[in-house]
Amino acid sequence: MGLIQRTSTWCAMVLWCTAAMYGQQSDAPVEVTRNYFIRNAFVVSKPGVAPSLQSIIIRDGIIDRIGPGLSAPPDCKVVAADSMYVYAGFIDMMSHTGIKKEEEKKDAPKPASRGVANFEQSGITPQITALSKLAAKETSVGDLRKAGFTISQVFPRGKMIAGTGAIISLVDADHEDKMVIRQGTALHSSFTTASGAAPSTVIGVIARYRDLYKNVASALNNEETFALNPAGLKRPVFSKELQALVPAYRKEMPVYFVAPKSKDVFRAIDLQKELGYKMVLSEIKHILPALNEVKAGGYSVLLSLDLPDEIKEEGSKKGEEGDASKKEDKGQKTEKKEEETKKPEVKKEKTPEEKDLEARKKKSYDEYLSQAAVLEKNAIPFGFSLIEVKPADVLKNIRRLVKAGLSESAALAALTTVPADWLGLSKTNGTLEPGKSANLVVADKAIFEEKSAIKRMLVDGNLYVMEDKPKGEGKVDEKGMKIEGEWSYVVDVPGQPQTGKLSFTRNGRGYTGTSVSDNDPGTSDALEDITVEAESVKFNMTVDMGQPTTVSFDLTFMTDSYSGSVVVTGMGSFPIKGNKIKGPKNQSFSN
Amino acid sequence: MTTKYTTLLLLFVFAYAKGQTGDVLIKGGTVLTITNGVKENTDVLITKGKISAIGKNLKAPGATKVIEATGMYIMPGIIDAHSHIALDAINEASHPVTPEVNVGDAINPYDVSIYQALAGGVTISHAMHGSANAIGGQCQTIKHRYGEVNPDKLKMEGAPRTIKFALGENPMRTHGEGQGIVPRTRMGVEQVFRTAFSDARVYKQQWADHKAGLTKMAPEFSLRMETLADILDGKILIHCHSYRADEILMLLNVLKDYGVKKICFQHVNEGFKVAPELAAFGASASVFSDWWAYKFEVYYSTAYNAAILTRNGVVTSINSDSDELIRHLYHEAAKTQRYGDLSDEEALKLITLNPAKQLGIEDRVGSIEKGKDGDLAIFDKHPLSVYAIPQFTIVDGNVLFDRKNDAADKRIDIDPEEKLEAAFYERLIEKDNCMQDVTETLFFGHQYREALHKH
Amino acid sequence: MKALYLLSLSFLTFISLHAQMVKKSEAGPFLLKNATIHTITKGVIQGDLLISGERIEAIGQNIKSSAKYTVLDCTGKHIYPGMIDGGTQVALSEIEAVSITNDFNEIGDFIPHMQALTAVNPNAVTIPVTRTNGVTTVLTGPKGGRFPGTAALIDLHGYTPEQMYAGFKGVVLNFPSSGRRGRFDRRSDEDVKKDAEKALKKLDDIWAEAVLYAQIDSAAAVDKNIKINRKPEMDALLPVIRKQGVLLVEVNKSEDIKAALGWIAKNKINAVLTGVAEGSRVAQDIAKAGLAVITGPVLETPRRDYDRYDTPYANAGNMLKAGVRVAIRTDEAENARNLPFHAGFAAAYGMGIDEAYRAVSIVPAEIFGVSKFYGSLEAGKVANLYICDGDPFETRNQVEALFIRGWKVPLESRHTLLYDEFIQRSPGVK
Repeated sequence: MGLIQRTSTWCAMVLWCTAAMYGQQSDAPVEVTRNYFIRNAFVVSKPGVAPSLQSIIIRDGIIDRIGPGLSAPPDCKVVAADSMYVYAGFIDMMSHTGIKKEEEKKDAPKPASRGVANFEQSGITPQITALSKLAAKETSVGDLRKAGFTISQVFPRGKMIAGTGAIISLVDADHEDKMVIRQGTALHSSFTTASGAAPSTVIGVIARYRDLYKNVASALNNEETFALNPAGLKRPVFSKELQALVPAYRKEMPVYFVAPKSKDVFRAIDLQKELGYKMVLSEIKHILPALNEVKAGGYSVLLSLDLPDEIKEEGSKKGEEGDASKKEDKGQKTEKKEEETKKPEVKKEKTPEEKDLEARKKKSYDEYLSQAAVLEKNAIPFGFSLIEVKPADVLKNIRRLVKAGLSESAALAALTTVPADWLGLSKTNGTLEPGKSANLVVADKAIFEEKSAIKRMLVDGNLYVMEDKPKGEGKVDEKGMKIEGEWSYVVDVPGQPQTGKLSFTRNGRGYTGTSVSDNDPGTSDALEDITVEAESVKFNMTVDMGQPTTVSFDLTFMTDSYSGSVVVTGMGSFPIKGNKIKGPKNQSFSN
Repeated sequence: MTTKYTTLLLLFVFAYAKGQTGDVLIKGGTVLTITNGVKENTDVLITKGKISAIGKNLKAPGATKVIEATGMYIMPGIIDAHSHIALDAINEASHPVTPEVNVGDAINPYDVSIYQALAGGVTISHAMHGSANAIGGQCQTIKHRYGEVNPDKLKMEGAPRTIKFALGENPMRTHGEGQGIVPRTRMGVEQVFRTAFSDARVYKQQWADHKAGLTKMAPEFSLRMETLADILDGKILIHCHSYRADEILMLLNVLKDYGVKKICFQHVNEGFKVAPELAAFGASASVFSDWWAYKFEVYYSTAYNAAILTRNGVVTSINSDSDELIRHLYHEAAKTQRYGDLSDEEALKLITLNPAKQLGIEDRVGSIEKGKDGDLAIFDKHPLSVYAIPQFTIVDGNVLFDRKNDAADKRIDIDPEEKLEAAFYERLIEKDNCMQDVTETLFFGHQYREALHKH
Repeated sequence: MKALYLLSLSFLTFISLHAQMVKKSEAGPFLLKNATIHTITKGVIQGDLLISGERIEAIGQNIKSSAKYTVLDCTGKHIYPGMIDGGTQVALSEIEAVSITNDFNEIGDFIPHMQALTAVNPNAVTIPVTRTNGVTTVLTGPKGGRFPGTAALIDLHGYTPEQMYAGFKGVVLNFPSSGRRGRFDRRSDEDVKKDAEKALKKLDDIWAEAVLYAQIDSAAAVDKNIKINRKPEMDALLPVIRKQGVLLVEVNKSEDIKAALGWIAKNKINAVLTGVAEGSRVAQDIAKAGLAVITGPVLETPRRDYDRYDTPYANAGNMLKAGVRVAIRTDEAENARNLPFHAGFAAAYGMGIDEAYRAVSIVPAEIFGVSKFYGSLEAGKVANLYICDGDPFETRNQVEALFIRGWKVPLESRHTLLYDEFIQRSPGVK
């Protein structure tokens, strides 16, 4: 049966994960030098400083010199950056970059009839470190780097208390350890409930926090008592969870509390006041209602860069649908235009009620976007968190915030000097100065200009060249709908690359598709939820690996090839690429 | 660019009761004081949130807001002793005993139901935990200060702590049927209480011993046991969801054994059967005006429940347990005149002074008296008339509902991504506040629909 | 399994016994003297009303008494025609949460042949309870899928469903909704929309089949060579297809109401809209389409968070003002007794008392095509009426006597009986 074989195929992707990594040979070209000369760029050495035409000399990962009129030393590779813009590398303060995706445990534990659910069931896992969940090969590392980031504070995924973070350099490494700058940097907390066990509501979560911190205090006392004179005393019960909470309890480690909505912000503040830890309000989407309380409490804030979908200006179409910025690509626009020309009459007059509602929505939208500016004006320290935003949207969204009143210097600070300061990296990162790490961003225009694109990145002295997207011919047609046919695939599972074929068939306005593994050519799996947006193609597939497991594909197509990543739920993410075998003209697949 | 938005920034001021100071003079209405009869053609003055004078031809400082109420009826702000509005979480259904949770931690000040309640004259509600657990969570008495964005500001300062208990079908269904753990029967429900109280006594003793230096190592801290101990110490008022006469008597016996004196039975559809016992214990009752037959334990009910309880000397209130009923509690109270012939004052007490007593706030609210909070509801006709329409509702001297001048859309928190078309809710699935969250946490699948049934 | 079945049977019998605790009805003729008679259709008359058999024999001043008559002095009292609730599940549900006591929700999405009348329990505990507030007649019907069955109009008195049947049946259609099923409905916006479109397409398909079925049926009636493959669910739709019957179209969201109006017009259906929670928003369209509406519950929360708080209260009045014929329903089972209060709120919020009373009497009678016998106090009409000490909508007022088809029905119910027993319990404590 194909089933068993396929099972082993996909399982194999995981098995290598821990073992195979170490023996990997790098296929990078031979490097003769790690010294670079960045030539004649507009350098923005730190926020608030006007760009000035300078060159930068970098030697072995450190900025050696910056100045106008430097000439290229002979031992440096020249990076042509004439008239481009150079900034200190961006620093992400909170994301799950490089963290393996793990599947939730589905076997919902029953709560005991007396007592409470155990720590793990309740999603209380402060002992889990980001490093233990880090995978050097995760595609998210490169994705975030492409957005201009050189350093990231990453956290394990989890529930109430997910674990502690690590600061990593976004370099391509053959092992996770090589990425780590520091670990055990902060504790990830949230109001996330446990599924099927206590706590199942936000009130349960809050009560549990109270219990936890009280018991940390109690455990510390008992330890002390016992250490003083254990004679005649029962040994205190060891708890790795309570132990792991001690640094947060002692305010030695900040608590990054995820509180997206304003109500969460109020609740997080109340809880902090009660329990006393050092708190950074994180992944905040709406904070204005709590502005006074945030200010009074002196909290730092990480604004989520996952902004509300853009609202199009009047006249383009019925505003009720609140056009997503995602839908802004050409393909969609053309489609809309067609619809409009088809039935121009349909555009009916809006009722006063509809107009009012849209106005209120717009006001709310404006309010959300203005928040960064308001924090700036109120001198509340803030940066950004990147939990939910797609890396590709980061700069685009920051530009929206700037448009809504945030100063460019504050925006740049939130990407560079602020995180460097908060993460204790100011001596090495955050600005462009001789002696600092060679973490920098080279963009073709000033980054706050529309259509500015990042061209080069230096991460710890490693040069990354962003490939220009092929234009014209190489692009998928304007509707983003030309994937029908057969395509080969190679999934890069180290030591055991997986190959096979993907087939797509046009079906009305969408696609259907199948996947056939070369290991098991007799059986095909259906592709589900195929979405095509310009050259981006996404779909899922369900395979049986003892239990139904979702495999998600995120591909970027060109005329005759594609590349991207495939995520196997619970196992991680793998690079995938492939080429066109058959096009629409000579399709031969039967179904 | 920037200039355009700097002006915009000034707009984002979250002002509760904008421009109001807690001062208002209501002139010339018929004042239903509850504790001091009906006063025709009388003024009520509220100063800094408190009733400062009741009388004829009152004068107020020049700037005081004046409501011309000639021909109108003024009653104390209505109090709902059982509601679940303004809450983001209702049932921590993961265990039959969860006194450690507190719905006060999950107040949702944006819930437009708060405004809809104000539009029915309701100024205070008892935001309760649900009835999934025998010993549920702590509840929160809230003032309907709609417009406040800080959840804490809705909490009524100084209101006593309260907790939700539940008997009968809901805990039996949630834990017995749903999870296969005690209780599956009313026998089990009793022992859940007795076991919890017994555990709490042991816990209290352990800590007492530790504090007295008898033991060196501190026992494990448990917010659950702490809260149970507080209940035994009489520091928390019990509000118990109940229906059948036998289970009501059962809990009275348990409380007697543990020396707990104060309890308000909620729903208590068969309270009329044991009204003499309730009166003898000093227990109070908070009932529906006429809900019955939606499940088996309310099959033998009567809409005369409130009247029978009142006539037997039980302090009785009429509650909503519903974001619908809460909008017309004055009408629900009036039903006791059709079913049991209560007097106007008796009927109005059911939604004012009596619920205030049950929540331990009767010294602050529940009647129109000098010194009490400036919480009032003003109607165009007598509030017990089916045709009465609330005109103004005042909380702490601030007019928070004004029928003629309020905008239609009173939402505070507007999702910038909302889809207007998708904002409509069909009525196919009954809302069940008392059992809300239970389904989501424990009952996905076939039991979903069933568990959604009311109360 | 069998044991369980037997158990449930005995359980039901137990219920029935208790429900029959109320006293037997008395037969007439009855002469109601010196009353204020609210005829609804012919104004208010000070005078007498004579009930003979199951009809109103006469209304007028100084009707001559006879030894045969039971005479009731109604000085200072008011007589109204019995209220008609335009939509309930009365007598189809005993205890909502106990599924085996519910007879209004059969399995299936296309089951118009399910007859509510079949499952009406003449001894349902809800019947006497509903009567005590002056409700004499209700439409009781199925709920659930797209075509959940056929509703029936019944009088709340009788020993068999046939005796109770009041002359109207209507097939129920739950028009596809593009709204959420409730606050628990977590479908994405796209899915909500997609599901609605799919449902509408499916409805069109069913209707096309039904029209074809009717065509074959007609052809088969005149041509013996044409065979028809009989299908009970299609047979149930025949009267509607042939415009001999009424389709009760349940629809609430304004966009859906518009879609339903279009669908009804396209298929030329003799329809009545029910529910119509957002009728206010599209009242002009409904009026233009000339369709009648049975709306309610009135005591309901707004369906959208941004709606004005009193939208549901004002809905009936707003539609009436736009020229729509409006009846009111409770959509209740055990609390259909609250019909006068739903009407009272509608009255207060713009409908006016007189129009609100019409909405629970003559208007539903007209909508159901039974106004010849129901809905007002006129000689020759069925004697469904009651005596009240004042305005029957007013909460404090009491219904003092009630007649259904000329029977004087005792105003007893479980609720009054429990009151009688427990107002002064003996023994009390100890």
